[in-house]
Amino acid sequence: MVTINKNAKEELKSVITANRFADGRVVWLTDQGYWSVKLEEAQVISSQSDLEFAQEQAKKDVAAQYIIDPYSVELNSNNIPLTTREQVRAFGPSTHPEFNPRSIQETIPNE
Amino acid sequence: MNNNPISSNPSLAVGRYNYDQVDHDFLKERINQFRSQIERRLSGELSEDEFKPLRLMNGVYLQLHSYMLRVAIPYGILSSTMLRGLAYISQYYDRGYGHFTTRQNIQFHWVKLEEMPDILTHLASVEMHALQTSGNCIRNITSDEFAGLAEDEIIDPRVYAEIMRQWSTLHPEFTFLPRKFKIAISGSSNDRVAACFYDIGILTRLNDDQKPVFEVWVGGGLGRIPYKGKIIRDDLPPEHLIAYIEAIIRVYNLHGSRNNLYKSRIKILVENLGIDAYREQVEKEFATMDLDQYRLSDDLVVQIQERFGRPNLENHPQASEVLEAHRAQDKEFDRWVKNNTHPHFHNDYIAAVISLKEVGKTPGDASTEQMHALADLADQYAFGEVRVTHLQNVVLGHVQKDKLYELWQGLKKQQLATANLGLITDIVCCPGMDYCALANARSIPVAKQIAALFEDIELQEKIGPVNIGVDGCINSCAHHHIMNIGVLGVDKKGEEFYQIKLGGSSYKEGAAIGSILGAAVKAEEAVKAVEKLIYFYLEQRQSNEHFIDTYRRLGTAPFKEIVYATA
Amino acid sequence: MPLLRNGEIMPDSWKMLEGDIPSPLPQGSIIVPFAYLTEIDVNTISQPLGVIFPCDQDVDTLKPYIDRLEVIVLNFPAFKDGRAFSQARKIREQLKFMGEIRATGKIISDQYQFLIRTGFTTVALPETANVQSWQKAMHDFKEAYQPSVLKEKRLSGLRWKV
Repeated sequence: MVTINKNAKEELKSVITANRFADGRVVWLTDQGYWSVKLEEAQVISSQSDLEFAQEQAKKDVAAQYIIDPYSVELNSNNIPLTTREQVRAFGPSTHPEFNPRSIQETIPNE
Repeated sequence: MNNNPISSNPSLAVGRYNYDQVDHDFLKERINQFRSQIERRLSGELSEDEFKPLRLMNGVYLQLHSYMLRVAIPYGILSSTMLRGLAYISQYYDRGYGHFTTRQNIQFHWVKLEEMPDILTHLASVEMHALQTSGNCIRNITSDEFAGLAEDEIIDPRVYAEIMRQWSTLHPEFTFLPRKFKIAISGSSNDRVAACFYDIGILTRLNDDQKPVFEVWVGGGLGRIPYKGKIIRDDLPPEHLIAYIEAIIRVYNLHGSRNNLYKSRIKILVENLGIDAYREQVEKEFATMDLDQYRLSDDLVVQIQERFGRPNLENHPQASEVLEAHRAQDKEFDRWVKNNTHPHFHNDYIAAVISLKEVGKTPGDASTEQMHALADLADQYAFGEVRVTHLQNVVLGHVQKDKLYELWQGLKKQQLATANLGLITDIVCCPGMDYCALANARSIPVAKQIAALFEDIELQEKIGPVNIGVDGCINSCAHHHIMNIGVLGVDKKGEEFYQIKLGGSSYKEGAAIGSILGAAVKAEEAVKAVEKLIYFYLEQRQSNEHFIDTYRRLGTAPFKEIVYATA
Repeated sequence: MPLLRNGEIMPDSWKMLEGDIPSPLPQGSIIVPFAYLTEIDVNTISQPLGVIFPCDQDVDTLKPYIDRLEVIVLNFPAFKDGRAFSQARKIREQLKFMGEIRATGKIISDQYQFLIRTGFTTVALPETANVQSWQKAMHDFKEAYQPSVLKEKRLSGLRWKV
């Protein structure tokens, strides 16, 4: 999913996302190795080796049935996803600002 | 022609088939099967790839933010008990609302996989399910929202829709078709179901002997390549309905494309073979079938029909007069009656259409409170029966005319008395990229912005009937191809753009697929474009032309000019 | 490959010949590809004969051989590919074939009752299959809403006892 632009390798920033298996919620991989519902807790990855390492971990969590369909998402300089789709995933449906994951308190299954 | 001899059983819910023990047992078995499928997924016996088609067959999708459950509302009929069941799920398993779709389903967008069996058990207790609301199988059968009350009705389509619902449920041969399969049926020859845009669409007419026969359309559909269907048979005796559609689908199951997702609907097969060759194969198949096994004998139809509750309609000689008096004294009510009701074959009753399109609200959404309120109002004024329409509104079908004013006052308290039916703010809209994993762009915000431009009801009435569909992707859940004005969201490198289509029309008379107006533009410009189109039409229209008439008279070019002209 | 009939694992006495067919043919009961059948004179084969029939062909082409066949194997390239359900039904109802119809390929236990009701008698289970799941699936449903090749007893209306 992430395309590496060789000329701008320094600027490349991405995060790993997936949906949680038990409830389908959008989650982001943190540098502590757990998955958070909040984008701002995600590990911002800027090197190919970190990306590969994170992808490896995501694969393990798929096998452990904690998440499904992980992939990486590119961020802009303000750490906001580049595409509208990923912005909607990160901040909830634009029609329901109250459902922004930052303002929702939910019990997290399997934890 | 509601002259059948069946008496009404007051313990049965009105307008729909009421389950007996066999139906309850079956549903319980199905839920147990799904429970064990979830367990096998959790234990690792099933991979996600294997599990996905199985969960889809139970209406469970993984959307952008969560799992989603799509619940079938067969032929659009809910009892107040069912609606309360849905309200309960929206409150305890979701976030306080549900979304009614164009396929007479309701979607819950925030459900958890683990809770799914419990939700399904709760649904089963009110005789509902999510069976075959997704997957490559025969989907929920849709029907006319005025079934059983329309003056032009020849047969009650709900009885045949129920027969097809039962027959298609876990059909051993047709649960793994090349692609999804949608059937709609109307009991009149006036198309109110968009029959020519379905995989199979069925209309009813009287033959030369004054016997009801079905006109069967096949191969219609929207999506990436929209097609108007073709008539495969115009004189099908109702007793052979099941055998004949079984033959149609068998030919499709064997020959529909299996290797190209975009060519796998029946419409492509019918187009490639030609309707005559397709018909020939179906007739050949039909000729080999043991018709006795499939025959819908009068006895069998009556057996099914007897499980339907019927409204106990009585004569209320003063009802029309009282209604007229209420209309005369309350202009706002008068406007709602004019815009939001449909005649009933019984002169003392009327059908009330409740708009779920209040300006500023998500089209098709109903809150938990609204669902409860609708259920209560249905009990009080409409024999406990609620209908959901393929245009994402709700109908109370049998309202005594002299009680309509009270009903309207009750609706007003719940913000359910918007008088915009068929007008420009009665917009059809899919969930779009605010929820849907397939979407390329958001649709709800665009629909809301368009509606906001025309909030003034007098302006809406001046504009007259015009339908708008806003879709977040080419799958066309909001029918943008066959709307007078269709808006389609597309993705350009992660940004949302919108294409506009003009001139679509959904029903048999004048059925048409809209033409693309020009290049896709950003949301703001798309909303402005719709505004320009409407004001241009107001300038150009002759006498009482509707939008679609003016469009047909002038063609696409002047409308295109208005939208794309560089100042 | 375990062979399932009526929910029980049973020995498979048939030899499945795929790819290059040896000449002379091996002894015993053999199953050959349909293409092979069309190239030879069936009357020269004296041993018990079965065929693997492709899922993209019209079963009517089996007609000339049907009296000679004891087993017809139908394949599911993916469990979502349901063509073989219709093929089996046509073989039973239109070609009146009374022998064994065997399912192979990527089938899952949730399809077992569908297989049985469309005319299959045996299933060549994938090696990884959980036999208990299949045995359980055979009894998932006790009623069905449509007639099948088994001509089950009608309960009432559109319900049949499975």
